[in-house]
Amino acid sequence: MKSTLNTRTIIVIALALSSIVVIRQNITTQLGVIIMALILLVLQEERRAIFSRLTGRLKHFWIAFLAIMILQVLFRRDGDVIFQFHILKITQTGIYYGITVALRLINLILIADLLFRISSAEYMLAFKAWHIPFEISFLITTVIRFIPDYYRLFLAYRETLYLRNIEIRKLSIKNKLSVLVALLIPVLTANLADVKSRAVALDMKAFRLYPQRTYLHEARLRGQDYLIQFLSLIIFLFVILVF
Amino acid sequence: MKVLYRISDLEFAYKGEVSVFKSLNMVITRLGVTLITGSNGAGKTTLCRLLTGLASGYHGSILLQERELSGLNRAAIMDDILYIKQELQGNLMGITPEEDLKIWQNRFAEEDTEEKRRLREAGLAKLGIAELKDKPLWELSYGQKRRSMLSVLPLFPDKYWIIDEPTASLDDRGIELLTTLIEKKRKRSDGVLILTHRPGLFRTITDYTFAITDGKIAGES
Repeated sequence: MKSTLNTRTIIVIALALSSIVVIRQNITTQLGVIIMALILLVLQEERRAIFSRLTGRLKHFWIAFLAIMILQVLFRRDGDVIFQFHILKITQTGIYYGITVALRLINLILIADLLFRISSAEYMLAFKAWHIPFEISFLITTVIRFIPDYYRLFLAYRETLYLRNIEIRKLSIKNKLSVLVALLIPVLTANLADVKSRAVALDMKAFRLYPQRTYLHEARLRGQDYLIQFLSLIIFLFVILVF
Repeated sequence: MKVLYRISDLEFAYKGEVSVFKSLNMVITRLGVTLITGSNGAGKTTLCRLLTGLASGYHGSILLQERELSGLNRAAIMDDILYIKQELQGNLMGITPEEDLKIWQNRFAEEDTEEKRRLREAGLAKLGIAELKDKPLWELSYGQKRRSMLSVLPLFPDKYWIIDEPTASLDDRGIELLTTLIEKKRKRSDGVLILTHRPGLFRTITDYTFAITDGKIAGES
């Protein structure tokens, strides 16, 4: 299934959901946002592709979720005590916050997934429609695209290790650090080279020479986009002010 | 004729996309220079990725030395195969061409030796970039980076080389040096697989040619 929503609508939803996730720290809200983000992802593309990608990502992050959850459980001292052994104290509040923080991280990954699916050109068109100056749009787009670009590059280097028959798991900590250094430097230089080539491309297109740019495509909002943007605003205000 | 790869009824498609291969059948021998040609997007790089285990999820069969490739682990595949990818980005590690070769040789696990250092210098010299051995990779031109990538070939003469679009961004001298390397390997009764859309450059040293069109082998010679 192809993307059905306009980029601006997705950005509005992402902003609303991420604000709710950060401001409202309770399990119900976090679960609600997870459901909304999943529905939105399903509307955007094939269900199978989404779930295989998300399970892959969550598989990488589950240790971080667990570690943060445990830290919250151990260091929140207030609330009813469930279990105590010397200085170790587990409280109801600790467990509650542990779960909330883990859910919040899942939410942030889901929302980031929504944003990372959008191409640079689509971002540019969306910002143009909001009358954001091209220079600023370009800067924001570069920052938003940095993580997926970095991730792609990282995957390329993982293949490089594979082709050289380098098994990181079998290396000592010292050698693992050497791998990291040998990987990071080319990844960083490749990113810098990418930014440089973009700057050259901009110069070639007479960037900033003309105050008014022309675009081949125009991303128009449809009825459903207006409706969803309006609903996002209403849900956001409802959750923040009432719920 | 010693068979290296035996591919039968190969079907493959990237997730959610159209098929790249529809019932592809071919045999790649361990000896001699095999050339696979095809237009842009014909599936040459995808075939390389399948043959080296970088891509999986195919239907049909790919046998590497008569063992199903999907059942082999990485070490079993890469011990005998040296694959040079087409892309420049993500193919060179470390800071300098020499350091990249050092990583190929030592894999962060072995000690470096004087013999290995001599081999590295010889490898770089064979691709005409000996004087660039300590130059940062990001300061090299595309052609120099390609030569740097290819300079690993002489370091592993006993492995089977799979080289994807080796002439991309190479100048005439670079192509000549590469052809010399391949020819030497061929004379030693060894093998190379080259995937290119410019088969004419290797005409004089090619033993077998396959052409991929519409996901199948359209021609064989």
